[in-house]
This record gives sequence, structure tokens and C-alpha cells, in this order.
Amino acid sequence: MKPLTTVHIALNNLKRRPLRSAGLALAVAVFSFTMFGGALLSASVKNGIDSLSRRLGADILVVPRGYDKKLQAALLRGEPSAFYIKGDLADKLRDVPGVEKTAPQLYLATLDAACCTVPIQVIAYDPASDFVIAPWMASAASPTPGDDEVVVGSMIVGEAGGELSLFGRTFRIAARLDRTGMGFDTTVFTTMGNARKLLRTAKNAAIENFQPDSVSAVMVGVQPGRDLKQVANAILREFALEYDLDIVVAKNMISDIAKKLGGLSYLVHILAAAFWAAAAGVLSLFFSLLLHERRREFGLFRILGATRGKLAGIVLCEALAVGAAGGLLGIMAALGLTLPFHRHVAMSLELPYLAVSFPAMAILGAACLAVSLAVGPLASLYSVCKIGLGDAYLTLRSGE
Amino acid sequence: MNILELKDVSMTYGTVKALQHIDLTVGQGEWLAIMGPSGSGKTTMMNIVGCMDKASDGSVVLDGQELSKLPPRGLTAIRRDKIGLIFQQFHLVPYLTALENVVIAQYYHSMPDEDEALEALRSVGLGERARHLPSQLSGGEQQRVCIARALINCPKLILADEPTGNLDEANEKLVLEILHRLHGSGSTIIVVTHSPDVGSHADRVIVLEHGKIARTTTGALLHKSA
Repeated sequence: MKPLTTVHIALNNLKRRPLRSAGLALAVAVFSFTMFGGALLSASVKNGIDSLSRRLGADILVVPRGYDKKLQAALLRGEPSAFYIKGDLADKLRDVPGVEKTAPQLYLATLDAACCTVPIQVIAYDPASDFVIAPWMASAASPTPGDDEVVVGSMIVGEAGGELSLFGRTFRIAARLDRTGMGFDTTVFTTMGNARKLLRTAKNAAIENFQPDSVSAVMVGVQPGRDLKQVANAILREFALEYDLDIVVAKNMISDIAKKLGGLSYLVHILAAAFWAAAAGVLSLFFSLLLHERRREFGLFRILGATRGKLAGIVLCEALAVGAAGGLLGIMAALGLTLPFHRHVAMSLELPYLAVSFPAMAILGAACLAVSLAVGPLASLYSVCKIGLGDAYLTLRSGE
Repeated sequence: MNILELKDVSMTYGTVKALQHIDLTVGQGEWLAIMGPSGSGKTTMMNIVGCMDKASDGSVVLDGQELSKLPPRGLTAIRRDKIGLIFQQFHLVPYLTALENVVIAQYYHSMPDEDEALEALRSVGLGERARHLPSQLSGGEQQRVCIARALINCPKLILADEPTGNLDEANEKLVLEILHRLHGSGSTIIVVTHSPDVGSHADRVIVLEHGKIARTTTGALLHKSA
């Protein structure tokens, strides 16, 4: 026989009514599922935004008019895009007061690729002038692709040293990038030289408006201390008409994304609070009913010598057990059922996504479990205060 | 030597006088039966003697300790340490085995001792049924578990409220045999009962009417008159 303790008594009572106990745990599980799943999504999106703002590099992004959203989609979600402006813009922009550096990029959108079941984005860049792609490449074994070589994002299938077929041409995979949380994860990187060779033989590339020296966007780094708005206005004044271009200020783009995250977090918090209140309500009602249903049992315990504290301990143990079971169930369900879809959710909300680390996940899980554990004792507080009041023997004999 | 002394004890619920000026002593090792019709004050007396309620007036001394001055926590301690209760409805915890139902009395008293609890169950003939839940036991067996639970902490006083009220004749006989055995070994027993048959086993019988002791007799005389 297991030693008889308050915990043993509480657990035995929960086991006696498995369906009821499971129902109560489920109420807590719905809350913890929402809270943990939502918190993980929010934290991963925040991680993605932080990563984006830390490593985007460019202060101003110059694109053809009307393609600012396309650029954002390509950067954040790796959504294949192809748009072009004249390639000499990058050099000319260096002469604008306040501009420190420029880096042209060329975007190619595949319609098919041997690597993937969906179209992917190819970004060609100039390693000599680049300051945007390079920081992401730093962790790769071969940070600059050579002739007929590509560097692939973390979600592109293929190992370093393997081959990748693009537009009917075979490339060697020089390296793979770490996770970025941006569209870079589903992007293939190569040099301008490779891209131009590729385009000459391309069968499936979207090459409307393409001229041999075209680029898709120019990333602009502004001199420290210069006002971004003034530099952006200067670029527009000088080149808007001639090149028909649009300007994206990176800071504004990130703050727009952060606002979206704010909306998502708010929704998650509201839902979690609603489910928490619902769980607390259900449990509170349950414990009140339980107190009535078990008044004789508690009366008997009083007669046998249990103090009110001991009786309160039984109810608190049951409440904690329900909270723990529900909390763990919700966390496991959130891990198993929602985690695999978080990236898709974030992408559909046009948000960058970078999964949080395991320790951060564990901390979130522990916090969620703590709140789940608290819901039971809080809900049983009224019952605990009322427990053991009144005449124990009359209670025991009530209804005889 | 007396284990229980009631002096001028009264109990009033609002305007209802449940007990009026009761004087009673119970000697160590005595078997006392309290009888009377419904509403005569039997349960009220059981509550007061069993430390489950306090008298409105008068003095109650149990094993040398004055109960009327004790706070609720003190009454709980006396009840736990000195009294073994046997109920008509058994009142076993449905989700604990027979053995655990006995051990729980130890748990709230001092230290659980499984061997001792098993021995108590054996003493009422339930050694083989120790691992069964109350729902798997007959009424007589449940009452015997209740008796084992009452005995487990070696109480000074065994207080039984209609202990055979829910039992058939065979089980009634079995329970009375156990009470006789306890009495024979020196236990003090107070039985509250409607049944003259049960009352007739006692050394002494008091009959309550309208909250007062209407008469006192012996079990033997009660048996003859029955």
C-alpha cells in the first residue's frame, strides 16, 4: 500500500471520477494550449523581427515604382519576385550626399526547380560591394559562391557539396545558411556573374522588362549621423523620374512589422485571458459543487481528527493536480499541434519568423505551467475557506 | 474510576431545549446504552460526549479533562486521541480500500502503521478483505471496517451511534460479539440505540425523554422486560 498522505487522498479522489477529472484538466489545457502556442508564435515572430532589424544592414532600399511591397514579400517571406531597373543606378546613388555605400541585387523567380515543389527566389548580388547578404553568409562554410556555385537558405533542400538545378542549369551548392527567420531561408544566392550567365540560357525565368545590365533593387547604407528622411528625399528628387523608383526606409518597414506583431500579441493575450477566466470559472464552480458533494466525507475527516488545514490541503492538492495535468497537456498539444504550423501562420500574416531556442521555449513552457498551476488553487480558494465549517457530526448525518 | 462525568449539562438550540440538567457518570470499562425515542436528545448527547459540540451549560469531563472550556481545536484533539466513533451508516471513504479507511484514522491521529491497521481488520475478521473498496464489501463488513477504524488509535471511549441499525440479524450478532470482546478487554463503550435488543447487552441503560434522563436500568433487566 502506498503511504496514505494528503496527496494520495487527493489523487485517489481524482482517479475515482476519471471523466470529470479529465474534463477539468481539459478546461485548463485549452487555456495553456492557447497561451503557450500563442506565446511561442509571438516570441518566434519577435525573434524574427529582431533578427531582421539586427542584420538587414541597409537603411534605404530602392526598387522600381510599385514594387516596394514585392520587395518586402521577397525579404520577409522569400516570395519569388522579379522586377528590374537600370543597373547603373547603384553607382549613381553613391554620389548622393549622405549615402555611404550601395549594393545592387538581382531577383529571379523560378517557376520550377529540381530542388523544390514550389517556386523559389534567387537573389544575385555583387560580393565586392555587398553589405546586406554577407552578414547572413558569415556562418556558412563557403561564404561567397564561386563560378557556377550557389549558397542556399536553410529551408532549401540540398547539402553543401551537392547540386541544384535552376532554370535547366546545374549549380554546385557551396554552403547552406543558418536559419534567418526571413525570406532568405527559402532563397538561393549566387553572384551577379552567375545570374547573368543563367539568364542567357533561362527558359523559365520571369524576365519581363529585363535588360542585360538590369538590377532589381539597390540597398543603400547611409553615413552615420545622417538623417534618413533627408537622404531618401534626395534620392527621390534626383532619380525618381529618370528611373521610376520607390524608396523603402528599412526602419519604417521594421516598425510596421513590429506593429503587426503587437496586434498578434494582443490577440494572443486576450484569448489566453479569456480561456484562463473560463477555466477559473469552471474550476471554481466545480470546487463549490465538490464541497457540497463531499461535505460528509470532509465531516468524517474532521471527526477523525483532521484540521481544516488538512482538508484545505486535500482540495488544494486536487486543484494543483488538475492544473498541472491540464497545463502539461496544453503545452504538449501546443508543441505537437501548433508548432509545425507556426511558420505558415507567421508567413500568412506577413511576419518574419525565427523559432525561439530550446531554453527560451522551456522558460515559456515553465511560465505557462506556473500560470496553469495557479488557476486551480485560485479557483478553489472560496471552497477552501468554507471547508470544515459547521457541525461535523450533523453534516455527516445529514440526509439520514 | 470514572472516565466521563456530566454535571448539570443542558443544550439549547434557539428555544428548543435538547438536553436539560443531565447528570451522568460513566465508569472505566463500563458499557452504557443510551436509549429513547426520536427527538429525546440522544444525538445531542452523543455530540457533546463525542466532542463534536459544546454544551450550553454545565460541565463535561472526559478522562479528567473539562471539555466546556476547550476551543474547537482542543475538542478536535480530544476526539482524535480519546474517542473511537462507530456510525450507523458506516461512513467509509468510498475511494479508499478497507485498509486505507483504517489507516486514515491513524494518519489524522499520529503515524500510519499498515501492519497495525491490518491487525485491526483481522481482529474484526476482515484480514482477507483489506484491499477491497467499500463498494465491494457487504453492509456487515463495512460496519466491521468502521469498528476497526474506531479501535485503531486505542481510544479511551468507544462511542457507537446505532451500530447495528443498518445490519441484518446475522451481522448484528457479529458486531455485538465484537463489542462484547472489546468490553471484555476493558474498553469503555457508549452505545446510542433504539433497539432494546442492543441495549440489553449493556451494563447500564439510560432512557432519555424530552432531553431528560427518564429512567435508568440495567441491560439484564431490559432484556427480561423485552
